[in-house]
Amino acid sequence: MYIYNAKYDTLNTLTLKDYRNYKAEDFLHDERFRAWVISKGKQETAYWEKFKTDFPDKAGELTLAKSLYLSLDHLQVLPEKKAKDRVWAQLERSILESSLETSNSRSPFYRWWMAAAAILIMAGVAWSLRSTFSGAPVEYGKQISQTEIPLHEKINTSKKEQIISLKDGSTVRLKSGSKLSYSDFALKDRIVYLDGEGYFDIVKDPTKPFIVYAGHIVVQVVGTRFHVHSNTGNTKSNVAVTSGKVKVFAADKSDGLGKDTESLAVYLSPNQQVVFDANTNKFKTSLVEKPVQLEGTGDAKQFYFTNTSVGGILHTLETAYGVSIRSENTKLESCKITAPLGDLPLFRKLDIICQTIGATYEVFGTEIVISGGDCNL
Amino acid sequence: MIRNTTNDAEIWDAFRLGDKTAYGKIYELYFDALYAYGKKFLLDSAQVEDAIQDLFINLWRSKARLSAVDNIKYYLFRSLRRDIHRISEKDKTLEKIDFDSFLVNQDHPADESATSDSDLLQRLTSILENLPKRKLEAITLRYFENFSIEEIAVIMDVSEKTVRNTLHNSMILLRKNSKLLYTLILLTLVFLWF
Repeated sequence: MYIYNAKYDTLNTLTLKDYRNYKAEDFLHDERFRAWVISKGKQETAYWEKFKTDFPDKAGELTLAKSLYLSLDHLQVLPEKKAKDRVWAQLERSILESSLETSNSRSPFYRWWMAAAAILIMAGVAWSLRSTFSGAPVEYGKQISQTEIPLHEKINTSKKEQIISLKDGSTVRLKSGSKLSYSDFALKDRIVYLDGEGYFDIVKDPTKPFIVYAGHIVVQVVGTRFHVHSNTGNTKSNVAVTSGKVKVFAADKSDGLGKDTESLAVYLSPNQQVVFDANTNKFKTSLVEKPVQLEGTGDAKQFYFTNTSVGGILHTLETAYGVSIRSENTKLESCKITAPLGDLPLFRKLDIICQTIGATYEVFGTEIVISGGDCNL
Repeated sequence: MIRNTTNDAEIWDAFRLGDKTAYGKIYELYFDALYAYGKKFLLDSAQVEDAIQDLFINLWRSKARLSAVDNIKYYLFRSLRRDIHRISEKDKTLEKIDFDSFLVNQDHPADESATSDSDLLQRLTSILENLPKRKLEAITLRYFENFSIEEIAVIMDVSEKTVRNTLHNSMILLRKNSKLLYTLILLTLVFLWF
């Protein structure tokens, strides 16, 4: 019996490896063997026929390997074709509902998610004059004067927050010095106009999107809690989401009725925020400073980890905070640690996890990336 | 099966950028395997379908924040496993597979009274069926789905050592139980199989 160590093989030269020591398990990982078994003998037939004659003592292992594969195959419960099609039909429907993509190729700069969330919109403090070009007005004053719907205006002249109740049951906490104009929501959209800062707690109504015109930006939600900050004269606006999801787009791209005429928008999930700079017309998304746990994701008890894999811990955090956490070191996934994290803020939790395994984390936009780390510390 | 990693990476990247055809391709390629795998834990086929549906919906919704992947099946299996585990933990009324019983080192005695018409295939199938679920899962992931030991350890959330031990013990068991028929069936199978 010869051992061939050739780097190539043709149908005439049989061995690349030392088949003399092959057991059934080894055959099952051999690509040629798998091709043979999976194709029920149609592929690689000549190869294995020759093999059987050259290595007759391997016939037993070969048979065991093949039978094991076929048994496992037999035990696989496969779906019916109609189940597969049915689920796909549901997927297409869900995707269509959540996606407002046009057929244009998207710029990778913008992200797309389903809209419906709590947004915190805040205007920045950059002061400069901005000339609006053709398109919808981007100033509160102009916007409310141009609309045909009758509006009520509430101006908070006091030093404290004022709570405004809207017709649909939603509430807005208006900060001192801010203005809010709203209607009876008789039409198909619920549109309000904001100048300043407000925290919105919106009642869910998928049939009537809630739209906030906040100077340079427009925020669209279905039902959620969010903070909007946008002052007339400022070129920076800010939206932060507490719960739910929103879609944010530039006001001068809208047609004045809440629909954006170009597909340049940002979708925010909870614990995310975006700053829009009207000078550069750019959106910059990031995480809020203090991410909070999402509703309905359990209590702090779940964060007392004993001998749990890092991968599992990160996944629990991802679900609880709705934040994407990625680790570059895949070996960490199965590394087990004990970490009583309780109700510490998210970033403190990550600090502790990273300290335990000697890793570091960094926030890139809305994603947290963990690098480095060693299991054996 | 020769796993084409560059192919996987390409399809995944296209999907991440919003290519619905690539997304559909991923669904097409892996639905069956995911279904068969999920069925090992959730006995109700509707629940398995729901789990896979949720998995794919979340995939689409979060595609912009996903990292690159060079083994899609591994990613999908990992995700489905985690999702199903969470579903099972939450829903106490679900018929649960015991996730914790694992390295059961029971001695499965060889059935001396082998029926004359039982062939190797039937025998192996019945042994496999009666193994603890976690053992069968490990064997399936290794020898049927051809995942590596490291990958299986992550999917099943156990150590590599545990995976190796389990597979080693299982193969001993399978070998022991099929030895009786070896000499009888050997030549027949080799000639008649294909």
